[in-house]
Amino acid sequence: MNAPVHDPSSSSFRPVAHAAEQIVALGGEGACTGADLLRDVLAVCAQLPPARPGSEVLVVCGDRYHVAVAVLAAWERGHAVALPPNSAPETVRELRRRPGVVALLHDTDAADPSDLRPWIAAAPELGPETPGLAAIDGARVLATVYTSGSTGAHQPCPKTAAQLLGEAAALARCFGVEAGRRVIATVPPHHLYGLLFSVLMPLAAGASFVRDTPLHAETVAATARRHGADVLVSVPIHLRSLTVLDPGELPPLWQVFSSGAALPAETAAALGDQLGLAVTEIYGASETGGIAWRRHLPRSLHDEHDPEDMSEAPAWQPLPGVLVDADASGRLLLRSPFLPPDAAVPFVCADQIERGEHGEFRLLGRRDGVLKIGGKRGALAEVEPRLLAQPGLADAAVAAVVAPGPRGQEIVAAVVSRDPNLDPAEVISRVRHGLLQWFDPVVVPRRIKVVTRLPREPSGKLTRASLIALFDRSGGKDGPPRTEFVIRDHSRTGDLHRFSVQVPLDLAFFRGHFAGFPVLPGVAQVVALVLARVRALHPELDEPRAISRLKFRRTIAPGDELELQLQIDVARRRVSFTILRAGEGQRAGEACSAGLLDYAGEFPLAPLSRAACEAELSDMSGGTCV
Amino acid sequence: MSTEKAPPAELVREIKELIIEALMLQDMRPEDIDEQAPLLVEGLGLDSIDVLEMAMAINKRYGVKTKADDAQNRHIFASVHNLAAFIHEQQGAPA
Repeated sequence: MNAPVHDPSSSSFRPVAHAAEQIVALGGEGACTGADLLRDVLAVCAQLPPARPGSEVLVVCGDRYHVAVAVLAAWERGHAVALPPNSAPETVRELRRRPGVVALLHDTDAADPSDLRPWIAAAPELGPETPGLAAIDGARVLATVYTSGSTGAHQPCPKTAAQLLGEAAALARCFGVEAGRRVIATVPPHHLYGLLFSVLMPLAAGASFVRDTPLHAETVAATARRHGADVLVSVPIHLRSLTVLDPGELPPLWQVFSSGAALPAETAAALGDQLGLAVTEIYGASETGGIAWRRHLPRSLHDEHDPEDMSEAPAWQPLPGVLVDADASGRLLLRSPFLPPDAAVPFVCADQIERGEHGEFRLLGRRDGVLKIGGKRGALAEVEPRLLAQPGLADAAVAAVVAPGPRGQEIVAAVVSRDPNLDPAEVISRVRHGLLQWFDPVVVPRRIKVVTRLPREPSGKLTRASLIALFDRSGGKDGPPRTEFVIRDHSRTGDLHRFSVQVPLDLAFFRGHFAGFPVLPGVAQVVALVLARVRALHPELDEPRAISRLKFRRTIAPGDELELQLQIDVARRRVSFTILRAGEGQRAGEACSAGLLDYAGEFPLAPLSRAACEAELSDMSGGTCV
Repeated sequence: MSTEKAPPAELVREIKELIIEALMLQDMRPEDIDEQAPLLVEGLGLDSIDVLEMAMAINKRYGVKTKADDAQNRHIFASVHNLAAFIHEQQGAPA
């Protein structure tokens, strides 16, 4: 198995670079070597049915070594593998029924004869002359991963060897991962990111991986110490929880990878300042594979840190072999060896970028419309049909709302029970149980409201605003409502600043503004959103002297996603602002409001306290303006 | 782990308040949370993200860290009762 990882002349790939004595996996009953891996793969391979065109083996394993054995055995036998989006029982059962699926390999406690553990335990020792695993042709389809499309059902996403093994080898080369490195991951190995970074990349590099997937910060630290791990593969929300650790609790980590969602600047800074960790962030998607990377250095190492630089985060560098360009409207145009062979060239991505002189770029906003909860993707459109299919429910609807804290977004559900006398707690418990048969727990709505009927219009249509009004927390008993908008992202192109903004459900400014039809008053937009951002960027501008050309064209409701654009002319002390509707849906891009702030002149306006402004502008709420 | 000993009622209430605060469950009151009921998926519906969030809040408030073993952590985060018993025990333990 000690062969070159990739021979470009033949475009074939060897997935495993380990010599017989090199360590592949750490944990379990002891380290597994390259020889152990070959023995176990061949034993499981012998249990699989013969391959036929398009045949797949469904792999449902939690232990990283079992994943490696299962996928390599399936490939050696000539099959592709299917990796389910989660291991919920109904999801697995449904994928098992897919026409191409000829076998299942699992390491769960399900009483199913396709448990691969007994086969590994009984694997016969190999003779010294046993050849290694076969090289795999680059064009061969090796895996189907499932992505959550915004359209509904999970989208199968086939991957060829050139895509999957080519990317694994390219990542190892790009980041210098080689034999002797030890990879630990907090993300499961069945998603593309976890599979690539914590299984296929170490295999391609002759490096080792830790079998377990620790969750809690203390467990991550202890497991990493026990195995001497020096590469951590994680997601922002898990990395954030590591900030409770003291320096020295983690072993020295040479590389920390983060993907799945944008890494908040404060998490990167906390990890750098407290634990001395530099995080390498990976940008990509299941459909495209990896696109680019950037490294967040601890501030102490950041000698060129420019305090004036509001964009904070470093620019993205395309991965080796990847070319990034932008079309006239700024959309990312991608040329990449990790794209499907039949993809359009260049491949047009929904995200907008600003390209630098040397190929580096900044992301101006992600427009994929797919809900991400703590870095996990889940389409809203998948949850609602599963609710409506529950026999105990007469009606149901779901919506994505802004969740405070690192979660970002969450799903809320309103349901109508068929049996009006059933205890709501029982209804919720049954709904939850039903959804857990299909989804990861993070996708299952935490807030489920049992109502007697949904606020549908006579046509049967249910607007998002009236649905989420059911969850309006401002009427609740506890906690003051919020007075701040959630700023998700900020980018800058010359004088133009763009903020991606989410409107919290319980924003104080919705109070008293039309029961059942919550609308954000213009004054709140100007004071709490626009002025607050200008003040944060340019405190020296003080208070505006005049506000003119105010236009409030379209209403803003709780939960809306917006883009705030600020054109700041510091020399003339002038700021023009536009608030656009962002996010998914047909109305994205609509201008909601606009205006001009003048900070020049002798006399400041009366202090723009909320109360003063409210009185001044309240008339505007009635007429053509909102 | 001495989960046999009942944790003080005051600590139990504090933890319920902490859960409501840390997880932004503003529409719940402490008395809505059953001390013995499962906190995770099929009970209150907490998931792994919530559990990490709770672990951070508990660390900040009580200076108590979770265990270095996720099987033990699953037991600790199984209910308000277990969580309170764990914190009580850690606070009592010599540093």
